[in-house]
Amino acid sequence: MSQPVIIVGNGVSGFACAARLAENEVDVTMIGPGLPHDRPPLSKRAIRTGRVPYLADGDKLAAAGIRHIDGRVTDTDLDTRRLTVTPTDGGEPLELDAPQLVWATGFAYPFPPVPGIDTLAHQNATADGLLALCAGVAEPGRRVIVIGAGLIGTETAATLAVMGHQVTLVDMVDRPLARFQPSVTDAALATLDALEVTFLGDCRIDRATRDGDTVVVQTSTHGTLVADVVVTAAGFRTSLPAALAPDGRALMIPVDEALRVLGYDNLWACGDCITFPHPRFGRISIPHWDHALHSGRHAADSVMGSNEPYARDPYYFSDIGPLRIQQVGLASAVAEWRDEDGLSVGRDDDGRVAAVLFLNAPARLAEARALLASQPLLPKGTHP
Amino acid sequence: MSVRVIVDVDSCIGSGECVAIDAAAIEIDDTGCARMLIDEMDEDRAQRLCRSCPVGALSIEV
Repeated sequence: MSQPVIIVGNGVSGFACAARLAENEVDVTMIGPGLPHDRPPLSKRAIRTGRVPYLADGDKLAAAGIRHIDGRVTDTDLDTRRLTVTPTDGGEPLELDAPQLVWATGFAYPFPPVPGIDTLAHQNATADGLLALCAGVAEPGRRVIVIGAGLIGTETAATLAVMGHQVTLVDMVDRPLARFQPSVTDAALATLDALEVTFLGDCRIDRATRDGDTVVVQTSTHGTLVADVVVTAAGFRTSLPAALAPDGRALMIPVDEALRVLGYDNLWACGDCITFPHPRFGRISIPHWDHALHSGRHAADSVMGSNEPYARDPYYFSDIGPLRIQQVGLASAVAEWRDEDGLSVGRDDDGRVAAVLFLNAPARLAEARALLASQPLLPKGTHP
Repeated sequence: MSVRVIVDVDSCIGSGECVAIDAAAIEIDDTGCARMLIDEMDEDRAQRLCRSCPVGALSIEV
């Protein structure tokens, strides 16, 4: 029987790890603010309904045998695995010793460094942020500015437009989903256009102020924008303790193939906040939902003694209104994309399939995965 | 025995895992949520479909 485990983080990965351990009758404590939920909340109906899709409530946690501490870890000694936990309700800090520790805090989602934004804008990154946003768009026809045209911002803009709001999506770069391949960006732009979302690229925001019920967003590139509601979905920062991010900047923890944190004993990590040696791509990170779930479960197995390498192929999905985007594999490993029987197949310099992208074709996920899985892995020992 | 599978649309995140294993039974609709394409199916098939959902949004109607 495994020794007791403390998991820091109660998003998808932390909860998946806790659930797997509890299923195997391991004594498990999960620490995180509020009930476990996706960060950001990904249910496509969450904004429309205003209901947070919690992964579990108190009764379910209790029934599963997961002890939950509602609070944040505010001090850490990773060598001794001693944690200081500050409860959400403002109670006295707790000192806990973890015989075995799993770190699963993902990323933190700050407001952009623009004067006024942090007090006037909403964030769709946490349950509280989602609820505040939903209250702001409860009436139809609101003028909404969404800042940040990555996956979350673009999804949010499209969802709000479908709900009947007048949406403006702004970003510092010239295209939505700019870090994705051009076919994705083009499809997203066409969808946003069809939904009558105004996209403002190369936009520099100087400040935000309130004028009565209106938020005034002053830009140096597009004049003055006004809105009833402003939502930010721009960027992320580290959630790691000083021991793992001594410069306050490192976003991710390097772990080995079994998700053990390099340089520490009895410490594992999973989810968005890790880099790991993938047998197909070498050391990578995968900040997406599917990886959060599977790495959380894998970390639990590793804690319980498994030495199986974590080898889940990258997979992400997104819905920009009616546009469904899915990709397996690693786009950054692709040297050339070609259309092959309706799938966009990316091959690396050696001609191996490195990624498969498909739009509005959800039935082809298994086929795409099989195509990627049929490719040779890296020779053993070639990745750090 | 034939059973019905129901989708908890509040929980569904549109991962697409259900469609990957049984595209004849279920699809992802324009809102990014799973939607059943057939009313009833045999119980084994329904159980496989339900197990594929990573968030437990599919269940057999009782």
